[in-house]
Amino acid sequence: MSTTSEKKVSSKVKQDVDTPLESESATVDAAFKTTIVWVQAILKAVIFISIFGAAISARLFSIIRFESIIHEFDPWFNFRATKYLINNSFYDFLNWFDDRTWYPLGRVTGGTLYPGLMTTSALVWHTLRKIGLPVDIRNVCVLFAPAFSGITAIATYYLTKEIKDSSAGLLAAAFIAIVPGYISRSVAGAYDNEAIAITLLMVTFMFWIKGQKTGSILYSSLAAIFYFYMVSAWGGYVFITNLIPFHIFLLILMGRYTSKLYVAYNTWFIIGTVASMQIPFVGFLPIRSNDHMAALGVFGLLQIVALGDYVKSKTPTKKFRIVMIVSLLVILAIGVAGLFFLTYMGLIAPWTGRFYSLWDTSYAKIHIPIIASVSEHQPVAWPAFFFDTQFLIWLFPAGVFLLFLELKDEHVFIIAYSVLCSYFAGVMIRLMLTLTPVICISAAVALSKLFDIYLDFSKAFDKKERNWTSLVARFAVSGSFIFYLYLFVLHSTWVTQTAYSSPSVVLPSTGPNGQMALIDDFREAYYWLRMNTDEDAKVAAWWDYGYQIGGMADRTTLVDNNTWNNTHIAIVGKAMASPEEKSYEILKEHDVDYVLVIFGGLLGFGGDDINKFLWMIRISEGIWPEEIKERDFFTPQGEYKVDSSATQTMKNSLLYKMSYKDFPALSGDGKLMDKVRQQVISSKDVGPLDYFDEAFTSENWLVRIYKVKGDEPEGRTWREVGDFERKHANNNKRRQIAKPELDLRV
Amino acid sequence: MKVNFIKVFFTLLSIFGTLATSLGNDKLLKAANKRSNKVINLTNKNYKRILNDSQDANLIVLFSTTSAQFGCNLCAELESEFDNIVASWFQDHPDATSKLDPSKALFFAKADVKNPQNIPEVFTYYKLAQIPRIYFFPAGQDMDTFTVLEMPQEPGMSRVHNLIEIIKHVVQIEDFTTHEPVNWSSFIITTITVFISVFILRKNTSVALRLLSSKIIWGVLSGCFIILMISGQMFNKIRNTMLAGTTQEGEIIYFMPNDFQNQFAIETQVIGVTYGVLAALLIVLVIGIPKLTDAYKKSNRRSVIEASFSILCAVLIYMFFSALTYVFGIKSSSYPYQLTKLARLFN
Amino acid sequence: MVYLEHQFSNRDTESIMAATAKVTKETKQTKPAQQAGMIKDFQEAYHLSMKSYWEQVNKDSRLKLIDIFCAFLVILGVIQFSFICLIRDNYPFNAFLAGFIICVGQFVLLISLRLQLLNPFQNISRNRAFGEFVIASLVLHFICLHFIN
Repeated sequence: MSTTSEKKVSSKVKQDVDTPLESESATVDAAFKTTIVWVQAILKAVIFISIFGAAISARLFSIIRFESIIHEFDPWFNFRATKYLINNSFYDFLNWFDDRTWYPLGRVTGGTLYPGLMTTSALVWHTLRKIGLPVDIRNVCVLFAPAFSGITAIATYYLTKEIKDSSAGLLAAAFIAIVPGYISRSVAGAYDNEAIAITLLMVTFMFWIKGQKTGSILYSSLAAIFYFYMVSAWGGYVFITNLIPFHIFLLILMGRYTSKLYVAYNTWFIIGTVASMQIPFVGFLPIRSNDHMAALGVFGLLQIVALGDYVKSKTPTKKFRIVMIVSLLVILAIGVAGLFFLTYMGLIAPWTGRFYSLWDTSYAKIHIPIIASVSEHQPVAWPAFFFDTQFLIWLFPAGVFLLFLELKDEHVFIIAYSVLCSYFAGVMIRLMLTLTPVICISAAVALSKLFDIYLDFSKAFDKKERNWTSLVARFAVSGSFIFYLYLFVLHSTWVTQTAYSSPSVVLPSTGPNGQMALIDDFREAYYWLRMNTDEDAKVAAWWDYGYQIGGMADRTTLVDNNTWNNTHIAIVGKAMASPEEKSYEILKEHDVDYVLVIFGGLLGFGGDDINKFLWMIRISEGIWPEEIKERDFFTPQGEYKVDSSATQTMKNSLLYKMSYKDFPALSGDGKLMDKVRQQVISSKDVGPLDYFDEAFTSENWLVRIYKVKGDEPEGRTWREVGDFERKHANNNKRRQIAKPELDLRV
Repeated sequence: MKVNFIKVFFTLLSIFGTLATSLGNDKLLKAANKRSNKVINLTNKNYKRILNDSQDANLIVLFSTTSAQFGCNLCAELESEFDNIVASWFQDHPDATSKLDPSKALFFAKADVKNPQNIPEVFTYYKLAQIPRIYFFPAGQDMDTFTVLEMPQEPGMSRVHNLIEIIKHVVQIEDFTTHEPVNWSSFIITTITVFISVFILRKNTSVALRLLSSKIIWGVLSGCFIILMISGQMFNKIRNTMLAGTTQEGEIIYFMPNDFQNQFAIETQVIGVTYGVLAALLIVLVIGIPKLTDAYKKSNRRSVIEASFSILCAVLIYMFFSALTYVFGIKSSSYPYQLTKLARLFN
Repeated sequence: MVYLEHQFSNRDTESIMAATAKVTKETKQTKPAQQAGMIKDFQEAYHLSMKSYWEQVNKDSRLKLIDIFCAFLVILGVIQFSFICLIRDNYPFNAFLAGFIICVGQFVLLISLRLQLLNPFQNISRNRAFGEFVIASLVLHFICLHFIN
């Protein structure tokens, strides 16, 4: 494969990184020096091009192995929004009211999304068209993330250059280009906010470090402008909003206040804050929500410190320092008390739930099951860290420690970033993504410090100082680390190939004879919906599939991945968990025409609805504790069973019946093993389904669609009809059994 | 006058009533008071008598084990939790009868397998296949009528609370509340430590300030914190993972095989130490070795010392790193890049 | 403006100090001498910095200009805020916010420029600092105008 060879190139590149250094230390005359500068520049350019190449090609596995397709769930919504944007004006987009989701409520989509991603790709699309390259918008979206990963690498280079030097910068750029922790969210087709957000995060931090270092208003304004871009692209911007003030706060605590800090922070804060309020979804949050109060507090603190600094420089008295400290403490106490008071009065919104769940780890589980239910919000076990970063993970703490020994102002920033983010990443797996860049940076610092010493072979050319023992030792140490680098490249390729390149819309599988096969049930079902149902048919499905139904099937959904309305989600959960008659009523109230369930029992697909059922129950129990009880779905032994020992509530629930309808009948004897839960389902467990008609079941039974029956023409309930027909059918059966015998006799 | 008389009469009556019911419970109360935790111990000798005697009292029996040979985590957890429940009951009801409904008495008993070779008769009598189990023997029934109480999942105070709720439900009493045991020892230890540390701080303010502004201390602390985080400490904390697991054959394993979404608590310790050693070795290579060379600047053996120490560090890094990849290989069996299987890398 | 703000905060701290002094007087009668010394220190510092400030301003007319602009901005901000307080309604909240923030923002940028004019940072000349200041102010004004609607 071309990508692997490309990777090897990049590993060689990393070895090249240190050649400029060697040449730097050599003593040469001026003419030779200019050539060296040129060689360095060309080498750097070559390295950058190969890093770019490696970054992009590593992310193309999914296209090569599957096709150019949008992945997963959220990207489908982003894709749909982008299509809306390029077909309508920008103002239409911002005022977009989407009546095809969250039926019957609708969603003020324009005001509740981060428009940065869509705007950027629409811009790219328009530019390409202007210069005579009419590319399909889908391809722009699919290739969006890989392209931006290249920019991330460059930003990381400049950031790390500020931290240490350009050799560390090149290492960091190479790391971030191929580290699996970042690839996981930026493969081709992962058209999600994170794809652009990490790039912007790095650019913002780069400008911030530059601004803070030089005290230049320009760099800080640029940091603010990219901060604004970041706000427009990802909700994770709060991380920057808190990290930069924290950096300043730490520096003030360490007694390192300078007027540079004043200039940099105030410029960034004022422009960044007022700019971030331009995003409709953010609105007045920056002055209303507690998440942003730290930044405001540090802003005020800086004014006071600046004043104190001015006075201090004019007055010689030492005693004045005590007065300063006392008044500072008093003001700080007043500020904190004021914050509490305003929060109490309701003028400032308290911390958001997601933020709470970061600090109090059991908070989400108790209070907001919808947050706890998302797999991205689970804590991380150690193998995930190793899987995502391989040997960088143990270079990381070493790098942080080495930064501590120098401890310049910008190092404080990286240290604060590492410590905070390693905690966040440990609590929530999705924040692994924000940790990855800093892992790359500190690992690169550690490694380049090592290479500075052990790749320095300059003495080898000097006959007097040549010392073979020391050279051999250096060769051994640096050789082993270069070998680890090579291993890291192999590891990254392997991880990307096996774990992060699946679109999850199309599933890979291996047939019985070991050959690759693709399971395309999702698209099969969505296209069925698109072709065979009314254009304004309403489809009820668990929220995970909302965006896909909207994007691929183009049908109205009740709930989707936006999860802004917990109650509405609980309604669907309740419908799934209730017995048929009740669900029918609920679904009828919401004009639902079709119910879509995901069933992996035949195929062994673990992420199906029965496995998510507990969350549906929990979420709806939160709203209707009287009607839905989690307890009722567990056997007396406290097990979650679906076979004949399942509870009656379980067997009566709509989801159970829909999932297993006709499933046991697939085998001749009416007993079939559910491959996900490894339990045997028999035909007598699965009750009849009277209120719904099976409309469609995909090839591997992954998606099953049921049509909600209309009103019964004679005014009976469908249950009565069903009972009547079953009675009738029994008679029929008897007759049918009798018939052939008669025939035989004749 | 008359009203008063009636009042007195009724009070007396109620007192006698209580006495009458609790007379039958005297023996049980005596048995319970024998031990400091007020749990009646069921032995081979007494179990039939106690379970049959409890005609007037409700009885909750815990079947469990204190033997370490079973490796039963739940039993160990229940040990203190059950004591807590019993203490909560007897704190409010020293005579073991409910205050709101004096006809209801409640006692607690426990049957304990102390030795796997010598299982008490009670266990065979009730044909127990699984422990721990909590049985409820209602008042007025013989020893063959009982119900099994369900075991709440979450450990600690929440289980105590849930169990008390369940007991309240089955016994049908209202006045049974949880009393959290006050851990005096930890309180005292904290006070003393705070006191001592404040005292030391006041005496050595300059030293404390120097320590507080020491880069190395802060560096080591943050390094340790980061290592703790990246080796899955938060996972253990949130998920309450077990320390280690057992295979189906009963052997103890430290690493959960083929499951890299999951881990045992001990894995954090092993991995944390490995990361720590690797990072420390790297720091030695970057900082330590040049310092060492400087120290031996004038010596002839300078280069030999430098070479041998740096190669030693490299070899140690290699060893620990290969151990790490090996462990990761356990977690994800298809992992192809284990350093312990070097030959495979070059195929 | 530094002068103005300085005065304000000095008054604040003075009153706080007075309050604390009162409290300590009530509880412990031994401390007043020390407290009085502190306040004296305070006044001394105040006079010293005032003096050097006037010297500074008189030397450089650019600084004077900046300071007058700063004072103007503060007055403008205070007027807007008191207007909001007076009418007890902040209906076009974004308009108020834009107006207020632009006062604060321009003030902060001016102070930043002033700091750089006094002691230029490494690698940034006075002229460059001024150019950067203009760019940042333009950006700020553009955003605030957009915000006003």
